[in-house]
Amino acid sequence: MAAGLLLRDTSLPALLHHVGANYPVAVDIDSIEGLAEDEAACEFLVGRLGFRIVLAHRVATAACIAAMGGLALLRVFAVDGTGLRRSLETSPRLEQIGSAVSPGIVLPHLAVNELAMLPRPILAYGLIDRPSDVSACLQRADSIALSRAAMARILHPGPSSANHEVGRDGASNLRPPRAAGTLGSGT
Amino acid sequence: MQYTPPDPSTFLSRLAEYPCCPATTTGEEFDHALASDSGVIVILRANGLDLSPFIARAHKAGKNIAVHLDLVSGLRGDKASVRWLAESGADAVISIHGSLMAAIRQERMTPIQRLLLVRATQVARGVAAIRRSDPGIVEVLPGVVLPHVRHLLPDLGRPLLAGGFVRTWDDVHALLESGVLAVTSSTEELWRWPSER
Repeated sequence: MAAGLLLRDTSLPALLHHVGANYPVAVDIDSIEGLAEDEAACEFLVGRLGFRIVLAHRVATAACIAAMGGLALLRVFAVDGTGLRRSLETSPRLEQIGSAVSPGIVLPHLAVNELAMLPRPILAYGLIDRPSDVSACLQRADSIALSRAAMARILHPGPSSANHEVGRDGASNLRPPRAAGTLGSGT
Repeated sequence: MQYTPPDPSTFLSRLAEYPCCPATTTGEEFDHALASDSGVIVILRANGLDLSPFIARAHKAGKNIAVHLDLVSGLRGDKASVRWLAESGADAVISIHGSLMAAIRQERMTPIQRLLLVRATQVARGVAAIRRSDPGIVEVLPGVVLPHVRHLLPDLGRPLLAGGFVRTWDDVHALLESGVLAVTSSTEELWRWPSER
């Protein structure tokens, strides 16, 4: 299993700390303070900083990332079946654009036809909290995102890590782990 | 004479009559919803400017109606649209916008606020918003994951509905065991008690 780092809910200057890293880096462009979602921002991330994987909620942003040779993961909010089908039916299929499904934990509950509609690769993103969630999601996703708190609970289960925190899922400043990661790829 | 919606406690009683509320459009499945065992029907997608005849049919069939303000077409999420829905006969209004809860209550309808379970940080923000807006009911989505992430939700002090990917009776039972009052679902098999019951 390969591991990497997903940068989210952080600021533009903080991105610079991860340039040239020897681990894969993905960036959630919508949550980076100070960064727009336009062509200049895409060029900055992919062309100058060398971050090849970018999560975006706008199709135009994702297409821009793909055109620059990166892999875009288009945010898909999967909160109900009707909404999911409607959003996927109207979403264009483009090369080099996959899906970042939120909450990732819902993936095991999708119908086969809903799963088939999701452009690959699929990142499961959000509320993946337990070892059973990880294995269930990796059966359907190509990769998963884990928060710092969830990773601590999964890698070091015990009384001290059993407290579930609300509002502390920031993965933005994690150092990359060796065995598992904030951005883990299955198969 | 203008219609008067049930007070929130009566609306809650209607919700508690049956564990699954049909979540529907005003298309042909609306008729199936009218024939359901539920006392409440949720209208998710429809023309918000043309709801009156459907709501009147529901009332005639003994059903109460909750309208999802954010999903119906033709209406902007503001006080005027809340007034419109009240005049259309809605009994409850669902929205993710906490700022509308007071207006819904003022129109004597039951306010239902949506809480999206997407990421832990967003859940925390949603919980804080609910505490500020004080809805009568909270609807959590995607409901099917609630039993897995129940620990993320503090006691909100109000009844929970759960909707989103709820498709089987096993899902319904798991959600009822996790403490929800009822579920909302577009799966018609859940709209009536199983025949072998």
